[in-house]
Amino acid sequence: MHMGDLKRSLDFQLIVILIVSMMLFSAAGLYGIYAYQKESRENPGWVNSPEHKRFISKMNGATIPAVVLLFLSLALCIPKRVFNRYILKWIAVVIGGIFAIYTFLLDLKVAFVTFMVLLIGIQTVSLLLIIYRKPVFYRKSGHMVQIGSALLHLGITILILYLAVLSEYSNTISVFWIASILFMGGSLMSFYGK
Amino acid sequence: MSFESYLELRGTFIHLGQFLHYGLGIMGTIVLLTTIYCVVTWKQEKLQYRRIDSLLMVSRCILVGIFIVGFISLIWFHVGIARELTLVNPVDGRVIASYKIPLWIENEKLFFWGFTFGLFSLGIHNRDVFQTTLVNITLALFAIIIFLFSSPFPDPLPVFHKEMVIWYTWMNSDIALQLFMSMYGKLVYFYNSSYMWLHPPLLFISYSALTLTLVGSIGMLSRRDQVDTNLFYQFSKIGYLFLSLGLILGYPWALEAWGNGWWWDPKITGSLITWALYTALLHSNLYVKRSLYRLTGAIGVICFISLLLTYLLTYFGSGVHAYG
Repeated sequence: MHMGDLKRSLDFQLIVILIVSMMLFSAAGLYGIYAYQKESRENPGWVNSPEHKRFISKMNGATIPAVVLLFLSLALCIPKRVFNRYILKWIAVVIGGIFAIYTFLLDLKVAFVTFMVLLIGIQTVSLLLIIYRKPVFYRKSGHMVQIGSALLHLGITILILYLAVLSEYSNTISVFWIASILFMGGSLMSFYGK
Repeated sequence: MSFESYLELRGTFIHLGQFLHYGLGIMGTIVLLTTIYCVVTWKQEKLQYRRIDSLLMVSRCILVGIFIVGFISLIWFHVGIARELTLVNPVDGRVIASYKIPLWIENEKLFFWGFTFGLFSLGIHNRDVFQTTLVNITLALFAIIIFLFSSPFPDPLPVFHKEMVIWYTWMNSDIALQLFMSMYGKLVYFYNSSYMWLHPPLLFISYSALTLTLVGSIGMLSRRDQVDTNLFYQFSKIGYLFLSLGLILGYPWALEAWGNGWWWDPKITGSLITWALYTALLHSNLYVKRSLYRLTGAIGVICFISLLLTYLLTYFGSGVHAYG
């Protein structure tokens, strides 16, 4: 594959989006660490003050660009295993549309949960297709490696849903453990499956 | 079981620990100088390649040997503490528990990191002078920094020791109950917590593997050799798995200790940044053979800087993970 073709490939672009997303999150986090340190030194009682609450919402807001990019890469990366590139464009439009409509008509939390549940559903279908050796689009070769990759992405999607929404509710810790097992097991298979 | 026996044990440990303390400092310096000598002579082609390789490996093995003896002596000291020290309720005289302290707290953290790095380094022997040199220099720096700044042998567990001295001085006074309550909390949620045996050591093992990833990354930025990408990928996978598992097991502990919530604690934020960057690194590695070779090496170095920052936040940062 030539350099130009490579840069035009969806897989490559998604990886670049993910790297940028992680870098943006790191930059925001680094600023957060600096601000937390500065405030704690200047004002020892700061952690229990209303300023700290404002700081938390300000920092949560600062991570929005990274989170949007992460969701964009997840929204395209997960369905790309199952659908071909032409259908994928329409899937992205539909998911984006549903997300926008839900956000405006209902609220961001409902839109987020719908979006994540949709991704978890598609990822589960993708996992089943791989397990039953049906045709899927994968860069990596090897049956175990593909199952591992599908499992770890399913795990991380459930983990994000848990940490962002479900952790507020009691008796949901089992969701955290299931997601963690999927993620760790998937990572192991993906790394050492060959 | 008594405080006097503990003091005697500590005294013996400090006495014997002097050998390990200076052993680390001196042997670290020798390994550093030997490595520099080997590189210089190799460049000038004065020594045979095989001889240089053997010299580098032998010096590394001796230093790792000191780390192993040091770790065994720490086990002996901690077992002794568990036998000698117990927390007693001052009201009814009931024994609450003995102190089963993990081997990676206070000034032992860096030693444990260096020890696990040393064990990993024994597995690297690919007859590549550049890589062997970097591994040796890193190990030597670990030993020298422990000697200069950490000192787990001449000054074992300084915070814990101070707590014990205060407790045994005031245990029969009016403030005994108040003191007991704070000691009880620390015993249950920190020293004797089962998570303490999982969350920190998994992270330190990951730090060691990721230090070797840094060696591969530096190699990738300096030259184009398969030996660097092999080391890089082999240890980034191990490091990532341990890092993820360590962070996952930290979560239920955090729930138990502080409850549910997110408040941008510096150390936790630093750990998440490190995890996010290593996630980016592993994805970038998918294209390492084509267009992202140098970028992947550069991200590897950034990842390690983030890891180092996260580690240092324990000592220089504020928040719930701050030490001392």
